[in-house]
Amino acid sequence: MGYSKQRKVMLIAATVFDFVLEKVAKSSLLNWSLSWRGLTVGKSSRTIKINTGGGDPGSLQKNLPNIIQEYCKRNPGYQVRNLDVVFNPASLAVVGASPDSGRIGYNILQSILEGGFQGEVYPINSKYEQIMGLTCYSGLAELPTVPELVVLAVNQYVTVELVELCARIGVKGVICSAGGFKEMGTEGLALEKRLITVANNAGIALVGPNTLGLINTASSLYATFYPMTLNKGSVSVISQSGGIGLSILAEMQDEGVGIAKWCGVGNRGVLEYVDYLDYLAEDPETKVIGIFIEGTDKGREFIEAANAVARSKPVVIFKAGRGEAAGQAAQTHTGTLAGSYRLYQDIFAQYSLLTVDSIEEMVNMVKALSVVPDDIGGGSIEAINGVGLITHTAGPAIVVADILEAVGCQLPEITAVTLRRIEEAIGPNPPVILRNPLDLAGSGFAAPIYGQCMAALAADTGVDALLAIFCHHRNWAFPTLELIKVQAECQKPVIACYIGESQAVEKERPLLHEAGIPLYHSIAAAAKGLAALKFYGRRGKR
Amino acid sequence: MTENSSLLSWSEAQKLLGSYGISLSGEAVVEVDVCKVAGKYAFPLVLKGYATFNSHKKEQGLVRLGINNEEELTRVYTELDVQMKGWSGQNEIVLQPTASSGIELVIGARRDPTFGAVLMFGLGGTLVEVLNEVVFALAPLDLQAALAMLERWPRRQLLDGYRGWPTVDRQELATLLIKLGHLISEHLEILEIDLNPVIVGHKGLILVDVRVTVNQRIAEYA
Repeated sequence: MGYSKQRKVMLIAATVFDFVLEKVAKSSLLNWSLSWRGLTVGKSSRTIKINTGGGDPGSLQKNLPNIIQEYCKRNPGYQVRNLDVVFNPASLAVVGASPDSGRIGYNILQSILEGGFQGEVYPINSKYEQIMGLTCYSGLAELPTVPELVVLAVNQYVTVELVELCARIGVKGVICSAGGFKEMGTEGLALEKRLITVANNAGIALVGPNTLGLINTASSLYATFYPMTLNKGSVSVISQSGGIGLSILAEMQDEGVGIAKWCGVGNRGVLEYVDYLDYLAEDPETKVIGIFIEGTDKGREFIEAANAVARSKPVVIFKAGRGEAAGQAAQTHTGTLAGSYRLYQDIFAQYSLLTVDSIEEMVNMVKALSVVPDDIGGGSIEAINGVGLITHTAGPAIVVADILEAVGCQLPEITAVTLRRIEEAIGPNPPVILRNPLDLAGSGFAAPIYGQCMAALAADTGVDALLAIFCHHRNWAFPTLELIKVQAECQKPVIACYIGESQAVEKERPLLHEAGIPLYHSIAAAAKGLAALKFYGRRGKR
Repeated sequence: MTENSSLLSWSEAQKLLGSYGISLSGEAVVEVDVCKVAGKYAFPLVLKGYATFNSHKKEQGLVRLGINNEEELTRVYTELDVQMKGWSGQNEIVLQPTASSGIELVIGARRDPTFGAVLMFGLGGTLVEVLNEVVFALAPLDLQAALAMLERWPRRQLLDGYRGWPTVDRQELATLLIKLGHLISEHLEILEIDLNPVIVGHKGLILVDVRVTVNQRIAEYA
């Protein structure tokens, strides 16, 4: 059968490859991704690993591109692209830069300059001598040096010509903003095929086409046409849609969740989800990955890459497009029932990948996953079973308990020791039954007592994580400092849910997030955050 | 049926599945052998007209249950033979022992344009598409993954027996999924496979009916 033959060839290729590029110097490997005729060769070989032989890492780093290019030359079918060139360029050119704020080229340049990018920036437009105070060049070939990254703010036809020029002069990273490619029918598809061929032959890491661009907060690179600045952080986002991507960013900003890298993948002509995932897996700035996906024709590779990355970093996936039909006429029940959305969902479940149904849910989850430190409780986060719930109002605790129970968390009975400590804190004959969820009612209004009771609950052996609910009051302080103290002492994950107007709640956020306590002002959102911690604790490093 | 795909005959499907250790219930018979073959099984028997262009045998009266003796057997055979005379494609008459009653499952495989080989498993029978109680997985599966697939089925409590019906041997069911996963992964010409119903009997799973569609162009090349 054809299939077995094909498989054998792939395996041989992978073996040879692993043999040649054996033994790892991880630090120098970070930024390369590799594919073999678009097929997955094997997890270990998607990231290139090279024997340094104990040599000087600096010179190795320099030599790496040559070694890899040489390997690819000797092994036809291998393609190599350096994603670090697009996320971390030393220099960049904006082709189609413009002084007119209505133009894409104006906004990309403004975004890059105001974002504070530290490398060389070359605006290119033959009509102008200067734009935004920078010398403007008439063409790519006229620049004093070859830029590492070229951002194209020109139409689809010029885009293809310029990528051909980039290939000739040795540019290794290109962002193509223009639409009008495969999403526009036969002519666009032909253009895109040309673009892909040129980029692949030249080893260009090409983002898009049809993309908003990308952001790397660590290098202050804001290469999009939506000028903005973001909070630096550890969550990276890959989005198939610019609009959804922007919405995730806005929500993260509002919720105080810091961003590492962001990328609109566009039509994924050259760089696919797997390439970005492999890159982010090795990216030291990225701790958590959020993905928005409409669809891909490389579903199997996507799943395998996400599964591989999720072993070391939490991945949260938002898949849209429930109405999408199966792409092939069906003559069986299996075929009829195999809708695209359903396959995605079932296969996500098969590979224990965390999925969400909305942008808000994604941000709820990446917030907890990024804010709570990995080492809290010396890794005890791997086993969140029992949750201690503390509140001064019963209703929210019921809502939280419903969500937590659905994801397999329990609210364990508290021990006699814990009970005694709580009684000591609030005094004799409290007007409430003391149990978990711990509803302190009136006794909980005073932050110090709330803190003492929480400390008691946190020390309980059945409690692996805590969720603290408090309602904003104009005369009574939030128990923020108490929460921070409890987490520092018990070394168990703490989630804060402050109910109130966002203005009032937000003031507490920097302190709490700094201390590793994610703050929510919606009850369900807080529970979702804890559910995400639970999920990735259980998934562990499979 | 699209231009490039066609349905395998019962014998072809049986041969293909058989090469992966998957056995269908019964066999295709020809007129002269029908009584001899029937001797292998106990009455009552079932005769089915299996036409490669017809997907709804029951509605066409092509499934004849409760055949109690050789005389009935010969008569029903002749009736089916007459009914299918002149139909295009490769048509066969299949003789099967009567399956006990039990939960009806569906097990399927498909070459999906996005994911490649996938497997499906769930509640089968004639209402399969209405009930829509199935779960999918990427193929191929190992034993652990196949057992996990069963546990992801929202109606998995049915596997443990219901109202006196036989319980499902999870190992046997998982093994069937594994074999089917290898089959679809290794035979690029196969587009879809339906095993429906697969009846859970006291002595194990009974594969009562099958549909296998193949891509004609790849099949010729292979």
